[in-house]
Amino acid sequence: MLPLFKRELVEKHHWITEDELMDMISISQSVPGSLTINSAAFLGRTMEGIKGAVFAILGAALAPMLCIALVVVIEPLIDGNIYVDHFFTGVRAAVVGLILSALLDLRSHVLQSKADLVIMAGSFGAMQVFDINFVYIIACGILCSLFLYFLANKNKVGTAIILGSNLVISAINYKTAYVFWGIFALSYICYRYDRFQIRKKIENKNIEQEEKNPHVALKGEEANANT
Amino acid sequence: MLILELFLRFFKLGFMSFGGGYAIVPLLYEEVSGIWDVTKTQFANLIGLFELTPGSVTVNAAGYVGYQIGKIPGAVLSTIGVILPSFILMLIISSLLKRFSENELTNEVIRGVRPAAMGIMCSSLIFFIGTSIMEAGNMPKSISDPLVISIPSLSIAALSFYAVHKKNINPIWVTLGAGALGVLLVK
Repeated sequence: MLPLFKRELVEKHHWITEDELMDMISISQSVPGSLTINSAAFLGRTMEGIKGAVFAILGAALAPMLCIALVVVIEPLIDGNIYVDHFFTGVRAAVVGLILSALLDLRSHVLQSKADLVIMAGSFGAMQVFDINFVYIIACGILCSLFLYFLANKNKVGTAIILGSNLVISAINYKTAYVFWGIFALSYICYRYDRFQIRKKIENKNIEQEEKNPHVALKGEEANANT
Repeated sequence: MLILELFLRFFKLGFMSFGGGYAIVPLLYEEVSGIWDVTKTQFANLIGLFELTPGSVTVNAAGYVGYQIGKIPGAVLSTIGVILPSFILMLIISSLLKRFSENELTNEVIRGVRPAAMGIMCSSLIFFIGTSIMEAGNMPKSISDPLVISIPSLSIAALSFYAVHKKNINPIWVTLGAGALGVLLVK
């Protein structure tokens, strides 16, 4: 998508600069919805205000809608054909490969800490085993991430608010309680473990430095001798 | 009133569609199967078809399902429902652009959403394995159930993974090729 955007918007029409394009892409990716629709809304808004956003988004949605209209017209004609069935058996298998590839691509820049891995595994388990509504799953990911952020910044009020809202959600839907508290507890353990590792690393570094640099250790003795 | 419910369901999906097309599949199925009678295999076929048509899976699915339930008004309304959240959020964010990208809290929210979306994406992987590689058209429900694997589907899946991940071939060509292989291999 990116090369296409760059060619059309920056080089051909000069609607935005390349920096603005990067802004547009990064924001569009972090807001729910497809990249095209989000970018259209953003571009329309920055160029022509709200009216621009409405028309840009309509334009971006119109092409897929026309294609779907075509699909809806053609579908009854080919429905039940054995070759079409086999074609789609192949397509379904291809999607398995495509999703696997997308997951592996995402792995390196989404799963940056052990806590991220816990959130991912927990969401998967919540979906498959506990059959929990996805609204709760996304909410749990957000709450857990904020919880760790407040913990790291020693923000007691924030941590309390997050835990409180967690309690409220558990009370509203008791089924989610296992998942929410489970993910929270596990990611807290991961967070503590990471902190412990970092502290150990720093201490080791200090010891090494003292060994390498005997002046640090001798300074005290010199001071004593001078007096 | 069915159309209104359609609108609300897709509106909800619009807020949740993080991480592109695939993460949304189990959510879409959950929402759509509540108002439209569709089997998992049929639904997986549709997602495969939307892979071939331009536009995102969510928008296409909204148009298609909306048409099946409420004809043209249904299609229009559910498409509006699914893009309205993007519209609202992008309007808000583009007006506070600087504060958005520099705010640590919003970054932290996004950081939490992404692994959760990846977990849901793993679910959609299971969804597609269940509807293609498992012969019976479903994942085995308990350990004692026999595990029947369709060899042609498994090899097509492996081949398309290799083509996309290692050879960087455009997913559309891979999907079309896999369909052609399906016609040749599946009996």
